[in-house]
Amino acid sequence: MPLLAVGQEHSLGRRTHPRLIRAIRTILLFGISLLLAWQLAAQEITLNLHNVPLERVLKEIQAQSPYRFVYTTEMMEKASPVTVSVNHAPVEATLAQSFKGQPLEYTIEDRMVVINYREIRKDSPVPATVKGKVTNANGDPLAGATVSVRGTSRAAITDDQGLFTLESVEKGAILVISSVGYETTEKKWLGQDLLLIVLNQKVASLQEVVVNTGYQDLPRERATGSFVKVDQATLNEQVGSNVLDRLDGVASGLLFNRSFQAAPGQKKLNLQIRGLSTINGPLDPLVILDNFPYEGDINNINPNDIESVTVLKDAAATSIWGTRAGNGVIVLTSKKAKINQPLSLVFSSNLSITDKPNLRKVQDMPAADYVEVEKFLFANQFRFSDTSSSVHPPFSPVYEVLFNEMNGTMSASQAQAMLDHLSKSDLREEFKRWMYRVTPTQRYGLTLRGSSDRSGWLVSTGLDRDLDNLDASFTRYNLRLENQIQPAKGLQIQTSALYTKSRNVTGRPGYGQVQGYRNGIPGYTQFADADGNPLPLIKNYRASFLDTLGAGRLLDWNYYPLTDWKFNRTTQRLEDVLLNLGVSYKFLRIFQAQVKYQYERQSIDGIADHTLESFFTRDMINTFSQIDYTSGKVVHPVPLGGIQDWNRSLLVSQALRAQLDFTRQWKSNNLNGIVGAEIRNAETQENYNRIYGFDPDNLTISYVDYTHTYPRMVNAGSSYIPTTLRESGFYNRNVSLFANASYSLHDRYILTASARRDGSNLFGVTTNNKWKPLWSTGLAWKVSKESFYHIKWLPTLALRATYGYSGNADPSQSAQTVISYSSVSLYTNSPIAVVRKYGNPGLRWEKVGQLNLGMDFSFLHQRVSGSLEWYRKRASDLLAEVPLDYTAGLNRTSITRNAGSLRTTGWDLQINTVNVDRELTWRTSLLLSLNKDRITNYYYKKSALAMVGGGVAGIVGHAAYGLYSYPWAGLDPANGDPQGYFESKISKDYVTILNNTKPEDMIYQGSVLPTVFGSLQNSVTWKGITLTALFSCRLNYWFRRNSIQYSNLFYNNMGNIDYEKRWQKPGDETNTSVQSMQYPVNANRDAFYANAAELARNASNIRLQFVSVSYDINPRYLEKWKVRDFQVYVNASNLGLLWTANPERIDPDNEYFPPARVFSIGLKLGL
Amino acid sequence: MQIPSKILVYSIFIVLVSCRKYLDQKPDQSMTLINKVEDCQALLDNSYYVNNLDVAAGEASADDYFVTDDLWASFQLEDRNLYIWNPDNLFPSFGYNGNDWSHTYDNVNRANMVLEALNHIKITPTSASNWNDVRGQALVLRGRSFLQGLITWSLAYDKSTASSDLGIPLRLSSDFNEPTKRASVEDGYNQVIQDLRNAIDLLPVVPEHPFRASKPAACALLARTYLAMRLYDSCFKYADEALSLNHTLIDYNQLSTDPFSMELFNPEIVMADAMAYSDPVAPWYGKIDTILYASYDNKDLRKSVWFGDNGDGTFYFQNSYSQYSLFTGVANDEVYLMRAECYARMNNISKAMEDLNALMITRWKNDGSFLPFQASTAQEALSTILRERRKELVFRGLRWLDIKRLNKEGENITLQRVINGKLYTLPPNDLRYALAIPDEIIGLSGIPQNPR
Repeated sequence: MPLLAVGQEHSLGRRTHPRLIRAIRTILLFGISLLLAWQLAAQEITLNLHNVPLERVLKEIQAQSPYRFVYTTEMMEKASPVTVSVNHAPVEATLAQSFKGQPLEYTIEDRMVVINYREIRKDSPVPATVKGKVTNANGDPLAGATVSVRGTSRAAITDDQGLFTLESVEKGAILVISSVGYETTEKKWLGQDLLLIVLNQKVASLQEVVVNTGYQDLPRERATGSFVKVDQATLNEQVGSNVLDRLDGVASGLLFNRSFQAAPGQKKLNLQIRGLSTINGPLDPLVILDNFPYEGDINNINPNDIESVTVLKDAAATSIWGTRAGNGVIVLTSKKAKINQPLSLVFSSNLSITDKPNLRKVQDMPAADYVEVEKFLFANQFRFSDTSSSVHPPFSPVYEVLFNEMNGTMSASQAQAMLDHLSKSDLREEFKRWMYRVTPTQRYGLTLRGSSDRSGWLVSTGLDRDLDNLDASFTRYNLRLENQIQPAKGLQIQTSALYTKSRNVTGRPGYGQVQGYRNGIPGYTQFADADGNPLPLIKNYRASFLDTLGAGRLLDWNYYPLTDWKFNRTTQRLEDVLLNLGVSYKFLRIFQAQVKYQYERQSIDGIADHTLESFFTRDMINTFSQIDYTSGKVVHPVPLGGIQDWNRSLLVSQALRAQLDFTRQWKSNNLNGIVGAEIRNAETQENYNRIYGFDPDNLTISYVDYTHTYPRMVNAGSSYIPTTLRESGFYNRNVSLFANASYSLHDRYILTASARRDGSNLFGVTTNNKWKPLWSTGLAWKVSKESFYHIKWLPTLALRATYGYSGNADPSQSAQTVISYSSVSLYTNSPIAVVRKYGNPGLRWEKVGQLNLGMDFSFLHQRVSGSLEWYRKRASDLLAEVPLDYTAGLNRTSITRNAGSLRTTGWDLQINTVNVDRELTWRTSLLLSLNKDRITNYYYKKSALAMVGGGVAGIVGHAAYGLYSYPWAGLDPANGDPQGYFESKISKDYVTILNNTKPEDMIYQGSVLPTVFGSLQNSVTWKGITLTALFSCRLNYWFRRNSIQYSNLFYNNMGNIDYEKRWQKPGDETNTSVQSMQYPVNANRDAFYANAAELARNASNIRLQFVSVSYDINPRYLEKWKVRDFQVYVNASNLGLLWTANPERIDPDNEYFPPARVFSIGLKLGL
Repeated sequence: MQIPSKILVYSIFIVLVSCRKYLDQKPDQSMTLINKVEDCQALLDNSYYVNNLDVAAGEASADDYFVTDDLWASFQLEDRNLYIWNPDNLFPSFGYNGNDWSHTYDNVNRANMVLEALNHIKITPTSASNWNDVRGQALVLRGRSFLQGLITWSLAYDKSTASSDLGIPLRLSSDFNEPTKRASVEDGYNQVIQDLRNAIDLLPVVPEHPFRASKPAACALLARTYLAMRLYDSCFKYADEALSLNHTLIDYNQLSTDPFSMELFNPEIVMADAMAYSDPVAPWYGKIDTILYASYDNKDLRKSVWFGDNGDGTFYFQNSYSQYSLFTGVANDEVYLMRAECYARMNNISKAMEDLNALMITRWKNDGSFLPFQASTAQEALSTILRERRKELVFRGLRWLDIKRLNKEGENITLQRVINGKLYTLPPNDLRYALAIPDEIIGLSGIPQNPR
């Protein structure tokens, strides 16, 4: 993870626009009813001191309030004694009283009070000597910081006390102070004797990061677990409307599944944290948005609203989330309103252009080859029997030409001319020309923040209008209101409301999405004629048959891919409201009580609108049409009009949490922790319906009869008119108790522990098993803080170790028998129930025990920092299919139960370096992860045929998702047949090889998931210009490349470029391994060839993920516009592969063709 | 300011107190747990599985029928093996349709699920009779499933060896995690007796439908169980009780001789169950044993009602009480014959012949030709009754049981089949009278196979 500074939004000065603040605050206060009645109380200080040193007063204020002070001892010596008497007075009033008549003055910035000598106003700009002191936010002196005078070459370095001296500096000059690990700050010298400069630490260095677990904010250095924090600046380096996608390549241990297929329902998100923790259970990590699991669509979240993302990886980090955290946790934290922060406004906008994809990469064969193959098939009378079939299957255009030639309705020269014409076309060009567009995507965001002493607010809005290169659109509006108020000392109320409205509309079909009679379409297909008029694609029936059918009384039965998408659009509208309320109260100095409540309501309305013009609707109407040929009357059981498929879903979730935090510090001990309880409920209602005969002009709908069958127009037989009517309801309830604590001694030894007990309505679980206790513990040792530690070259070293359990709950399993009613008995006239799930009283949550060892280090003055972690996950009680003795009476021979186990081990390395840190800075961050999973227990043996089909083969000692192939014995030199082995002998008995090869005789190539992956990011900054490039690698995994399968080619028009390299004559086997063309086709031969070891490839690859250039205009030039921050940037992503292991240079993660390149340009403006 | 902390304490308290109920919400509305008496009844009313998949292997191994060489050759391997009493490989693997073993234990499990669910369902004054009825039905289902299992996969009950003879697995819980173990024959019969006895007091005399168990059905099944154990006192007691509750017989003079014309659920039926389909004993394949066919008097209506002419001198069973499948339930003819046999064995000749004649008069042509059966000695009465039992309970799934128990009584029945000129015999009390358990089950559960 590159640890760069959080983008600071600069202040506008509180006095500049008091009216604006008031206006906005008024709107907010009215907008959120909860806040209406609050009469804001002050941050209360009560003091009664006579003639005491100023320092004493400051310490008292510090004790009673969250304010901290920065000053020097010298200042306190110069201060006069103070008498102050206040009762429940605000801090500012107390300070004003205390500083009356002092030679000192103070400024307040975010609860930090910086004390300085009162400004001495002299009129002449006489150069003088500047003395100053540089400290960090805690007031500790910073040695080695550079202080330079802007516009000159003069500079000084601070000494051990953080002090510096600069000769002959003009009053009003601006000093630039920088230090590695701190944010560079500018300060105007106004003639003070001693200039005090506080540098804020950059979020950059690992140690200072505050991570959010969803339950508490935790300083990274006090945590023992494995956390990755991704800040806003890093998130903003990538464009794209899905916030999780922006973590690709920047969060260590996170793997994005680009091509990995899992069982249906196992995953919605496309990423994994530290590999697999389950075999058959859910694969998604738990996503937390603002303290609670997020149940809605991840696309609702506007990345602009996210302040930071914390990824929880090991058990110590995740166990607090219990049984849903087995796959890791991703915590999204929204930007917050804060008290005592200046009014600011940030506007951002960007425009992205999506290029057309590079269809040249498609491994299809040229049109001329398709024509050649079809001529060959025709000569062999392939499918001639279909001419007399009662279902009148269509023939391809080449076949029709050849038929015409054969029947004498077309001359040989005419036919040849037509075939030549077809041979010259190119389907990829057709798609590029007619389907793909270069399209723009726009995003706008506006965030406004402000505050007073006792309240803070934030308003943000976003508008995203995405249009992909097929004209499918995604439009999203976000509005977010945040408010924080402090009505009394120690009491804080936080409210937020997020409203999202979005709309998805489908667009044109992309390459591979247009289907003809079978799955594919020939490579010479054309979508439009020379004038751009849509051409029909042969779909269900032969054209010559359609011409005579129905005596002209049917609707046009042709399919026009060029225009059909317009009449076949699916629109999905989504509205989501997310409300949060939090109240926290600090008492007795060590406790803070919190109650948090969240409400979410997400409604989705989807309509698949098939208008009367669409092929879908015309086909349906024609199929059911009844023609009386004598009277010429046509009856339409499926009425003339559009067909609409509706689906609605409503998700309502509520969560309530009560939590008590405690912090106690004594001597060098520090103890803090939380205990709490939580209750959650998520309900989903779904319904589906279809309407027929829809007339969009007057919104009428026709009734259809679903209860009777109607004869079909073409093939004999009759069918019911299909309906999609369905209702369902789902409930997901959880109750949890949790606690965690951390104890540190001398800031060197840290011990953490957490425990959680989860209850859920997981179906049929008996009350005892509904509750699952999970725990973790961790230890950290800051080695370099020991007095005996003297390794000079490695000044910072910390070691961490954690162990604990998290879980996985699979809602599809049940501990109690679940039945459903199926029908009514004809005999007893009573309802009949069938068993849906056989109860398994032994059902348990899947358990993931994880050991994590970590080392954090930094050296060369923090120029190199990083961490190295090793982990081992032992997932046990995994749900796995197990053979079952049917004496149990379950009418089956296998069952899913807690039987499998999996071991995953890996390394996560993360190194950040500052290579050059001068006027030009060059930073590098390197992420490298190793992840290896092995099945350690699994009972069910798959057949060879099932193993090559993918999924979990369940072979102990191999990766859960592995690539298995049939052994390959080369091509038969006599005829180019692919050859395999059966029982160690070369064999061409494909049926036997396919079905009877023993699992242990299959070749195991390796995991289909990358086992080594990482990224390298470099960014160079010079004079506000930053150039960033991110490279990512995915190594040591396997895929099976596609090759020619003649059954697919002959029946489905799906060819492959390998056709041209096929074995054609003896001797070819020395330079090709592509199977020869065989007629008649043997599907088993194809199936063997497709899954033979010959086609397995190492999928390792390195790609350039994005390059961006940004320019932050120097604030100096912006001052007069009251602009504090202005950035413009350009970004290019999906730039393609730099290296692949496979000689064909196929992109293993994008099998057909690489995703289109995206170019973005944007700006960010801060006021 | 202590209010927030109080709120915290209260909210935690409320959460904890209410969460138990809160977590009882089912996650998918279309599904339900078995938590009402009606749910249990609905499971038991799934008559396709509960009433129509009784074990067929015993009947296929018995001597009511024969098949030709050609027909035999057309059967699947396991059916061919059954026919010639092969020592093993008698049941097809589970596949899609299951086999006799899976059908038996499916019903055992169904009964267990219901019995377990009922334990958690509160009995209210209004639901008490339903609750009892359903519990009784489940007990009968389990009891008779075990009984079929014992008849099929264990040797005949022999008091001297029953406690060591291998019985069948007695699964009494629906938890599939429990390992499968074979109990002794003694324990098996005791379990059947216990289930059926417990059911008697719970069941109504007249069920809502013959698919459901009733008090007379439970009594009759119990009598059948004791008959198999050759405990004739007890057999008599329950046969007598069954007949005191229901003794309706149908008059065969009222029946049609058309094939498959038998009224479903006729009044003689106490409980309607049928055998799973099996090729060898299907009416269109299995031919009636010629000696058996010849043993019927021409005035005996059973001959014309039951047996249809194949047109080649052989006959098929054309009128089962279950129409197209073979009836295996309880009908009063069987109960009369059991009581008659018990009377005979108890030396009560007149009562024995009274029961036999009560039945036989309904089977005889009512042209005045019926001459009541008579016997001068108990032995004569017994052999007459057993002869008529042989002729009455054809294709009822009872013959295998009868051969096994009667051989124990010294009847010395030797079974013979000829296929492709080869003679196969099954001597009395052969080990093969306990059919081989499906190999899949032996492999998966590790239980011992029947000795050979």
